[in-house]
Amino acid sequence: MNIPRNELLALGAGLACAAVLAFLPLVTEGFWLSLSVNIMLYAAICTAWALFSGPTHLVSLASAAFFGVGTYSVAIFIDVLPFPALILIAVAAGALLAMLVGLATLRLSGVYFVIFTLGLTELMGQIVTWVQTNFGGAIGLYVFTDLTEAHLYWLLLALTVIVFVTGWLINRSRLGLALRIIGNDEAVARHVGVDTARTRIILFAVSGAFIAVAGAIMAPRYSYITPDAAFSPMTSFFVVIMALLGGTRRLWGPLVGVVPFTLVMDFISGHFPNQTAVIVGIAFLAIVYVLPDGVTGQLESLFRRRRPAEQSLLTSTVEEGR
Amino acid sequence: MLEVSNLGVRYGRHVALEGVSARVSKGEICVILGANGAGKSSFLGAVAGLVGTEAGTRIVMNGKDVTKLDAHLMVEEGIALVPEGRGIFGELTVAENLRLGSHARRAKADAGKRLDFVYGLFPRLAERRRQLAQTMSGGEQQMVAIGRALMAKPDILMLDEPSLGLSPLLSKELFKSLATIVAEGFGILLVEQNARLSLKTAARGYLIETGRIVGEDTASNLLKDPKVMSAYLGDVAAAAAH
Repeated sequence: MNIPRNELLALGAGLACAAVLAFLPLVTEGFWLSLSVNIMLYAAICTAWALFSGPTHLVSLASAAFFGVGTYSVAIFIDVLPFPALILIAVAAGALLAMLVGLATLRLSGVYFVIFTLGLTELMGQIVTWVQTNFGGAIGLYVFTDLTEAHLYWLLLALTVIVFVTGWLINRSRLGLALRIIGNDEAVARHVGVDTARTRIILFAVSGAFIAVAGAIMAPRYSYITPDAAFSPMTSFFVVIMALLGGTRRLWGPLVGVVPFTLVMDFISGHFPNQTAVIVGIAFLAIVYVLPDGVTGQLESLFRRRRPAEQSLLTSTVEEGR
Repeated sequence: MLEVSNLGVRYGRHVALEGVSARVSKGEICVILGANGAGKSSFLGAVAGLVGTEAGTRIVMNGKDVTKLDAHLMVEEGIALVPEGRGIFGELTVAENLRLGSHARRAKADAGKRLDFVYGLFPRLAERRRQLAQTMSGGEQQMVAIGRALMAKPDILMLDEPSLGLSPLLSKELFKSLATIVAEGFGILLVEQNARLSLKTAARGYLIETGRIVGEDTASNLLKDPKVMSAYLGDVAAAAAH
């Protein structure tokens, strides 16, 4: 396939960035490394979330459900299987759950989809709690590994790179252009021959599998896994806020939201622990009202307005009507 | 080429279409005339696979039974719809909208050639290929919608009220383009309220009233029919004919 030069440049620049970032654990540790793990975690999850929710315009609050499924894939089997195998289990579990949910929600859109996915997270947490109290004897599970913070960082960095490359490949595929319109007008998307049902399910499965892997990688960090933490709805909310802040029209859009938001949130939760929830809520409102297309979307439309020369060149004859 | 027989559509308890039969061949324009709510759009939606049909319905395309096919598979059978309100994607450029039309498997092979055909048919689109579709005039957006449908390499092109919202002059140009398209061998199935203009361009016409076909004839006969005149062409035309 012939790849445009600017895309090749972007791909090269992205990989170079990742390579540089890989050296981070060698120069820092403690607080900054731990903060970097958080950033890398949300970079992976938010980008994976936007793979599905960006083109379909369906806001999923199921991130925590996939995350928790990944975390528990590790917690349940950590004593019997090696860590890499657990990652594969997380992939399978996340994809399977996403496909089931995708099938069940094919006819849902808008607020109904949001509520369904929020309920799913709660349901998964409750089921795990119920199983553990009735058959497990304890609420939580221990995960002890030799993985250090630096290892987790590298794993998450690798995951982020894979998510980006996957997103890039999807955009380049036959589906790429069709994906850009599926959320705008599903009926017309079908008129041009797009199998919207299959597309929705596949995208959701890919996105869910990635988020589950992120959960699996994070399990060793928690060491004691409880349903409350693994299926915390706050995870889902944070993902949506950060992705919307950055913007979901571009693959790298969510990343623009993740970095500042994680830094600011760390500061706020450190200095105003009691007001954190309020501030998150206000931030959510502010983003939706002020930046509906996110930072990247806003910049893009500014950029477009700044280039009247090209526009007028294309539309040299005066527009009649509109 | 496209043969529809005994088509029925209902929304809950409301019967929208009942026992509708129609056919369209290659190289002919066929128009369905009817008032608002007569079931014209439901008919196109049902053929396109967007609206579910009742038992007994039979849709045959190129000799193949396609009654139960989903919308995205109907495209692969050679049926493309230009929906009412055009359904173009404003945030995409003209060229991207057109490229989207060739998403179907059957349209992949000679997409470049067909793009040339579309640009030849509507030179305006070639001039403005890099413009965002939402910044174009109504007539130009209609060209984009028709161009996109043609990119799917259809045998039958269906249009839902293409002249809606267009000035009389633009409507005339639109129908001229449709005549050109038909001359290339496409079949066109058209749903219209603009009876006179569409009957002048079409070969045959069906009259649809409250979900049933109430008349079928050649376009020239329909144009002469006083009943058609008064029902669809307005009193002035009827008076002029007498």
